[in-house]
Amino acid sequence: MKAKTDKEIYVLHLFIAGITPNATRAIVNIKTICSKYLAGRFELRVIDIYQQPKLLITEQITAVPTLIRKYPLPEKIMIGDLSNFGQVLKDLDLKEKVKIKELW
Amino acid sequence: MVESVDSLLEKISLLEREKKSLLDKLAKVEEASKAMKDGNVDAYYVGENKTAKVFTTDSPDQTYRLFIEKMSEGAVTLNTEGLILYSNMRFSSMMKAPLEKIIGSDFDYYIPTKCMKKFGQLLKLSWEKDAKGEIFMSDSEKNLIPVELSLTRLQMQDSIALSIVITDLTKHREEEKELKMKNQLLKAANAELANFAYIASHDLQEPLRTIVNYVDLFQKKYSEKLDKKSDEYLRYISEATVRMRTLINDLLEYSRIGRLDSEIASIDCNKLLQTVLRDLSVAIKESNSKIKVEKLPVIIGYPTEMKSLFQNLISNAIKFRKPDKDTIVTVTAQAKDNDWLFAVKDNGIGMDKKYHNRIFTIFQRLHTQKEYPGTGIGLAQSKKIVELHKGKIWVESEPGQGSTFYFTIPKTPVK
Repeated sequence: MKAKTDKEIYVLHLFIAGITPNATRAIVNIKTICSKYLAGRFELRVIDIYQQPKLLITEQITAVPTLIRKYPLPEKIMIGDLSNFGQVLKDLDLKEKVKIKELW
Repeated sequence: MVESVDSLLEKISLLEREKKSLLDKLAKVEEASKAMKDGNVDAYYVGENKTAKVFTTDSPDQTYRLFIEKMSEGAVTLNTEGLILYSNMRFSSMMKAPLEKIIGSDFDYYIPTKCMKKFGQLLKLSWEKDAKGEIFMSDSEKNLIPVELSLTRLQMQDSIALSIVITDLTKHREEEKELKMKNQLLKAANAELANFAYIASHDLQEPLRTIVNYVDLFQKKYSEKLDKKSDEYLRYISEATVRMRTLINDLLEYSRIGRLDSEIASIDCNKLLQTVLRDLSVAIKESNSKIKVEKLPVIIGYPTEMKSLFQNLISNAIKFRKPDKDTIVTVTAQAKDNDWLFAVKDNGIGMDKKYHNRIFTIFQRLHTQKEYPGTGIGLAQSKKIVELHKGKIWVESEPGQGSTFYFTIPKTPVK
């Protein structure tokens, strides 16, 4: 299972609502994680729900920011500003390569 | 034992009360949660260490949001790292990329390498003050788009961001190009026309001179052999050639304005007017006219041409005077923002509004040669002189009410 996620292309959808401190942090955090752990094998889409509310209908979202791992399956949902790197990496099935402190 | 049963009962009743209170609280939470889920609340707040935060559900700034989304300029917000935190739909269509791919991407990505340096400078400047600049951006298909960027620093709740408004200059540039091209064509056509007028008038003089000479010779040599009728015809030819010569000379003079490389100089208009009045002294005396000159400025212009301009306007004022009235001509000047506004006002015969433009056209005359002699070149020449100085000339007049000729001369010469 772990071996699989090492090569898999990740499709991530981040839902935000305008430019709030939480949204800003969520974008920066997921970008940092992607460039560190998923360089060259990720597709990130950031959806502002004010601009594209229709995209919410198909998703099980009750609060934003929410990050959805669309691929690899199974889908996973993370709520919040994604500041807890350890937890986010765990939810994404990614191994902690670097000490979290170094990311900052 | 009895006591312990009592205490037990008391505990039960306490627990019952606690349960009831908890159930009440739960009911309230459920009620609130249902209201939120049903969309029946507009806002709620969370008390957090003495600080209360308000969270809105249906955003009250919907109007501004729509305004920004629908505007014709692109709008983005960047964090200090240059990451796009927000982009409106217009920017997405400008860059031919879906919104969700633009938000969270680096703004740099849309700046072509050759414009990186300029963008860097703009960016640096914008952290100090609002900055504006024209650069190229490249869309997702690598097409270059000329844009104007307008950068403003934004203080957000807990961080600093940069908002950029992106104006597409493609259409603007195309129009500019077309205008420039048309302007060049017009200039070339004008130059050609001026050249033509100059050459034509110059070359016409020669055959005319020959006609005059031979008519003269003819008259001298054959006058005895000619009858009365022939004499009369020859006189008509002679008169016509004189008129033609005047016309050609006027045309030549007209086409020379701005052609001779006359030097631009500082001109004291007060002194200039003294010279003009001296030159016109005979006409002024004969017509019994009064010329009042108020204090005039020192301007920068072409001295010879400016002298002709005042001469033309004043002699016109005298020429078109009312026969039964003393002629009074006033020359004044006013300082405007960028120009001097001169006015030459008379109390002469005036003219109908429909002629106000026509009089400035070359050889256009409102009167017959008999009523008022002249070729009708004076005002066309005046117009050309004023335009040589990048000024404007116009007239305000009514029949019988006199005329005022206005013209402007820029305070600083325009190239």
